[in-house]
Amino acid sequence: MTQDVDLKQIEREAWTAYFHDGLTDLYGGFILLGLGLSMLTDQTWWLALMLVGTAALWARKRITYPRMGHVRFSPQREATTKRSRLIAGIAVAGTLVLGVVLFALVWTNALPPWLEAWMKDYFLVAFAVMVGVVIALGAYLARVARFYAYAVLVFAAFAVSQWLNTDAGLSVSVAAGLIVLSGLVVLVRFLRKCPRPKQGGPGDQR
Amino acid sequence: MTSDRAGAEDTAPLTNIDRLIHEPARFTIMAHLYVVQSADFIFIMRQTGLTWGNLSSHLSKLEAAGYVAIEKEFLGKKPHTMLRLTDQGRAAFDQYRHDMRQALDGLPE
Repeated sequence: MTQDVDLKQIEREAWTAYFHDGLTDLYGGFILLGLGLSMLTDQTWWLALMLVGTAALWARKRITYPRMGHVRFSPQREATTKRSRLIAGIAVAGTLVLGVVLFALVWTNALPPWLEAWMKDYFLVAFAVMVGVVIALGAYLARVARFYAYAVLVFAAFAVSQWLNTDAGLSVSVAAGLIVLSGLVVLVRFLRKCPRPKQGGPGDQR
Repeated sequence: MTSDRAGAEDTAPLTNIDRLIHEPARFTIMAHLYVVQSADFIFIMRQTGLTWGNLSSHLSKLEAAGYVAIEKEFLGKKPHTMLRLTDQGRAAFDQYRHDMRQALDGLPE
């Protein structure tokens, strides 16, 4: 072991420890899958998959904490976390508001003709950029590299659908399926790597 | 005689090193607790890669030295044991880093 241990790296690893369970991936993946399948089939009940995603995140209490343990970060880190959540919340809300406003403007023909024509031609690309940026922001705040790949994947799903003029629901469902699959792989690896400590072991002294 | 004194002065930073922290496993535990406010036994075990028995034994030594405090608290309704560096432990770790840096910086390339 080297003595010049990077304390920032140790803190970063502690911070990202909870993202190694794949549950955040499943959460996002199922939400996107619900969206994609409802777009593809025009059946809104697919949106119920979002509940599965939420359940995956809720399962962290039962799956991750007993295996990974608990940690309380320093007040500075907690403040950064709160700020990150606020930024992420603002980004998501901003994207939603922007999407709704743009949709309303296109719907009511309130946009200048050139912008309206551009929006109609490239609506999915514009949407892809917004969603991709939000996911990339999440990746940056969480400091998890594979989330950047998800951002690219989701951006590509919308963009490819626009360029190939195919059903966006299909490409989004495929991208979401890949994210769910990735989440499952990460989850299985996590469960294998971190078995639940046995009851009655030496840890019970602690 | 003079060279002996010079030699003793050269090694002074090394002899000041806190041997309790200098042990690699204990150093790792201290480093992991240094960057957080508190963590439980399982979290430290996962992060350090130490076995349960090994971690338990090293923690006992750090606790005896007053570097680590072991506190019972409730998470929801369940009792839980959290570990944290005491002020003394934090100061000792800062001093250790300072001493090591001084000792290593003094070495020729």
